[in-house]
Amino acid sequence: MSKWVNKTNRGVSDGVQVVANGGNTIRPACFILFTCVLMIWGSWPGTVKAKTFGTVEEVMGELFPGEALKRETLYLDKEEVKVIEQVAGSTLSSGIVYRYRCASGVGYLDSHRVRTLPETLLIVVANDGRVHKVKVLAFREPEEYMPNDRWYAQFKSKALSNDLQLKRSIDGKTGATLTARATTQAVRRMLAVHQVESGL
Amino acid sequence: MIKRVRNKTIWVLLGLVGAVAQAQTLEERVSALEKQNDVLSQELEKSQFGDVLGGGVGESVYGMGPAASKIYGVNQGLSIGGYGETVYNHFEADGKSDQFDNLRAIIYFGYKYNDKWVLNTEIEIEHGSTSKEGSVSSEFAYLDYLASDVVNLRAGLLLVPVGIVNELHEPTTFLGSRRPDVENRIIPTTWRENGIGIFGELAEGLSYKAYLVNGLRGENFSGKGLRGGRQKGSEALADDLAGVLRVDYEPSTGLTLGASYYNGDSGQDLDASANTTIWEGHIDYRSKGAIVQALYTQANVDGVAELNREIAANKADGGMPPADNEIDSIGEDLVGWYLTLGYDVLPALGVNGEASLTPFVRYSEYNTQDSTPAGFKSSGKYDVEVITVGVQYQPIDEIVFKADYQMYDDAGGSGDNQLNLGVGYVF
Repeated sequence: MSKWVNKTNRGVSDGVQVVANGGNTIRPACFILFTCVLMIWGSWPGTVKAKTFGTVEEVMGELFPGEALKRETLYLDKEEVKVIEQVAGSTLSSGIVYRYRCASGVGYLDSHRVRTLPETLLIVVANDGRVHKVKVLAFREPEEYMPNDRWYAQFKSKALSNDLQLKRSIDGKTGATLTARATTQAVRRMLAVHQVESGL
Repeated sequence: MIKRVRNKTIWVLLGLVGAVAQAQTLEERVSALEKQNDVLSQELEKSQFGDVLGGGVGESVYGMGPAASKIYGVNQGLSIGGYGETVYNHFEADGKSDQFDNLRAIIYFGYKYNDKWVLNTEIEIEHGSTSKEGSVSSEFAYLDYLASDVVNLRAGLLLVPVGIVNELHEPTTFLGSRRPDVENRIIPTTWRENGIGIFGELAEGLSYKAYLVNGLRGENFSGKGLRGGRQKGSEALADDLAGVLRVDYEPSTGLTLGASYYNGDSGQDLDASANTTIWEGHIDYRSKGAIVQALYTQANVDGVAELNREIAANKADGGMPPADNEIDSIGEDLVGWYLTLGYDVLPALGVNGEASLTPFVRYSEYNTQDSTPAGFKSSGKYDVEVITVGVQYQPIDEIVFKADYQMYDDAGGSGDNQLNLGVGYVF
């Protein structure tokens, strides 16, 4: 108790002591009550929806409901990899690329390092060769480094061009520059793969 | 379990190879090879993306099931990062030595126990060495319970969510070798206290933080500002607590409008309550190569006359305390604002790639004694105008080189100019 009432040791008037005592015994109680309310609210099942990123199937199903999904593996030779890397401006981690095709579009998987840990994106390209959706499937850095949905929406309808760069047609994100850079590079890579594979 | 699954996969592959060898017709051989190729590509895919594939499309017919394949995508819990900055200051005033300081070297450790519970910590070494002028501090150390987009819980040593720089203070995130003066003198960056709170996103682009923390320690306030009142989580006096609320709104990509409000008594073990309010509003805008940052902040301390006298009496330690007009007063009102404009010129010059070259200018005004109680001393030397011009170069996003010149002008006439050079990194 003394911890909370040590203002009274400074020789103030009785009247002030009463106020100080009252205030300081209520505050820790408020603190504990506040903690309990938060813990119960936050962990109560069904109160709130937990954050999920979804799987390839779920994302493609939401984007193209009812369409059959077909898994494809692309095997890129050295020459194709070279062309893609030149066009994209970054390196491909592997010559094997996985994609999921629907009638209306195709989703490419790309996993890359953000800061020290990787993220996995599904980059969905529409039949016209433009980005339909960029969706985060796994993000292992702290979520503070992950931009919000509005930022990812910038990529919608973007084609592979010199303008598809950070600080050009893509705005950066304060506090998430490395994620913004990594995402933009991944989108360029997969659009380049799509171009090469489609013979565009 | 893993060994059993691997063995199973090997047997399946051997079987397929055998089938290819024994196939009689070309069609059968091609079919067997296609099947083998399909299995191999699926296994490779799972090793890279196993944790994001659904149970159907990504399912391996011949290898392990989706649950077992999760082992490939198992999330490593430990996350390591950090940042640092070394700064050279040349002071133009005679008699003031230039300084070369390994200002900060920070190691960040995070640990993700599972999708709900996450630990974030930052260990800070300031000024190079504890055997000289340096110190080692825990800059933050808190647990998050990630319940949902809307509400999440946080507890531990927290960064007080006030201003632009306090939470985003890595050298690559602000322009200039030194953090903006206003966010040092009025908002006491890096400001961290022990507490609990909630945070989340109420609607798209609308985020908030609401914390309850130990209050500042008013005994260490001075005419220079409230900075000395930070308790930094170190056996912090907690007779007085404080609440802080922050809201940020992003109406469009690249534009953030935000405000925060802090209030609580700072008397702690003093008789004075020293109720302290700090509020600020800020704008952060980034588009193409342009960066605009603006912040206005105001602080108010109640009962400053009483606080001045009590601090002076404590310092006198039983002796005769100084008269009011000899005490350099703590400010009743403290006020400051700044505007920073920067522009990365490389995209405009047609230079592609990650590098950036950003000239910038910042205008700041602050006064830590904007008003003081009648009868006390107020020197005017804390009523300051600062113009900073500089440039910074980032060869890659994680590394920055900085050069800037600062022109100080204060009402007391003791302004000093300085040249700063800095190098910073994050990883």
